[in-house]
Amino acid sequence: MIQRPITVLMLSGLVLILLIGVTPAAAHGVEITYALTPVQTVRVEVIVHDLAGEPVRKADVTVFTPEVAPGDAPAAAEAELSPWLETSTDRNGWVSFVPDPALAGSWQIAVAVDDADAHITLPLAEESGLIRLASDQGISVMSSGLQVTVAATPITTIQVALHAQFDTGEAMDEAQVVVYAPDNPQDPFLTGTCDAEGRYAFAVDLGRPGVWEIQVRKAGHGDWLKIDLDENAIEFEEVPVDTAGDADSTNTTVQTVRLADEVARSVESDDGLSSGQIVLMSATTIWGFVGTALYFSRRRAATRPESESDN
Amino acid sequence: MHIPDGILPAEVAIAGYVTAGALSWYSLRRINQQPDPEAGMPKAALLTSAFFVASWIHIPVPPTSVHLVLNGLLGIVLGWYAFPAILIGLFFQAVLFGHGGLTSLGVNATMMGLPALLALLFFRLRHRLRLDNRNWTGIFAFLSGMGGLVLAALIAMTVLIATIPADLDVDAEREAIYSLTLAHVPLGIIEGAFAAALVLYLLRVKPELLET
Repeated sequence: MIQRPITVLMLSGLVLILLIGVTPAAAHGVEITYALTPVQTVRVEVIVHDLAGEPVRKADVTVFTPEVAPGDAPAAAEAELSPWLETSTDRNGWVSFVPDPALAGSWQIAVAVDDADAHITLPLAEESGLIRLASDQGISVMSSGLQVTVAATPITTIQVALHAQFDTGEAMDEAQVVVYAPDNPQDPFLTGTCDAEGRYAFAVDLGRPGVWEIQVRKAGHGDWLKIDLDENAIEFEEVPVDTAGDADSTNTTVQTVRLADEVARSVESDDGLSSGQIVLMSATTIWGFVGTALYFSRRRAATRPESESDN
Repeated sequence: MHIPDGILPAEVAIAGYVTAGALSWYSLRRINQQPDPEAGMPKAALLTSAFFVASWIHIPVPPTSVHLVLNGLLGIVLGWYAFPAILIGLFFQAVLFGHGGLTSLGVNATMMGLPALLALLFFRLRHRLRLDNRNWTGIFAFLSGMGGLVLAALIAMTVLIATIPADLDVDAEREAIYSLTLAHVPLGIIEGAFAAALVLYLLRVKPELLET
């Protein structure tokens, strides 16, 4: 009779483990929510020429955020710090990107082609919440056979702030994010990693209108997000400023930006299931299975009454 | 464990459907060869619902959490009905809750169903080895329940690692997959214990349910 206590012990141990561990949520699906905010930032354009003035195509351009020690792009590359962006120039020797407006400081750009390379420090200063190029002129660097010109134009764009979590509520910490621009679904616009809370933010380039696709992934779990942002995603608004008491000015307005209603609505729509729906769906499905079991066991009982009664 | 849509390349998803189709065909053929194919239906339907809800039961294995799968147990108790049961359970999970996906249904069914059938074959080995007394049956049930789950986790790991898109940081993703797979080892022990407990219980109260 030794087996019986063992069975009881194992069953009660299992029940205990389950009681500790049960979380009433669908298992390891992924929930990605996002917020869109209009931001003012700069579009950085990098143009690479050789010393003869010919554009250099397919030069590797690597961009590091200011979190890397200032003025240290080669060191960053050696230390294998992950670059914020890896891309290459087009046939006009041109490439552009929109830096993360939250990261003011010295951005590092490394340009390399065959045996020539150049490193540029791009000082982006923050001023009342906006970032801009610290010096008004563009930056031009000449080095070992390459001539690199960097310019920064102020633009208004949209910042996408993602929050990725498993639907158990657990954050997808360190999940990888790959963003594809609408005009190039093959090569990533940028790649990055969520923080410990599963958050990641980047600014899109509204010069590339259309559907932005974002993949968030960790250990084979993840999802794709599609955000439709066209040229009209941002609306400019004239907001009247109350100047009562100020005799000199009349009807002063200030231009502000806001998300177009259509875009704002698409963010608000939430097709997640409520827990009531989940419970009801589960219950009906389980009843379907149990009902099937009952149907077949009754059918068997009905078709073989004699043989059953013989036993 | 459930691979969602949008993770696997199309050719892998198609290959998954091919293997799942082959396994369904073979399972149904074996079921049809039984003297009374309908005999196992009530049991199969009940365990499909158990499989369907099992994935709701989370077990924290820091730093992550895993959920019950019960594929090894289904193999032991259901025999050849296990594969169709898993396929149907996965279909409902994918359609109702987006747990797993429809394009990856074939891969997921193969990943969990094939180890279930292997667990069944292993469990039956006890007859051939003449180790079918009560204690040995419990041990075989434990190993089959655990083996089915661990094997499924290994298949998932192999498929995922072989198909990491080049756009991702491959090393980081591989690390994440390894650690998730490792988290399934304690789960394997739990599922093995659960299978052993259930088998010993059935053996005592209703041994005819355990024809395998």
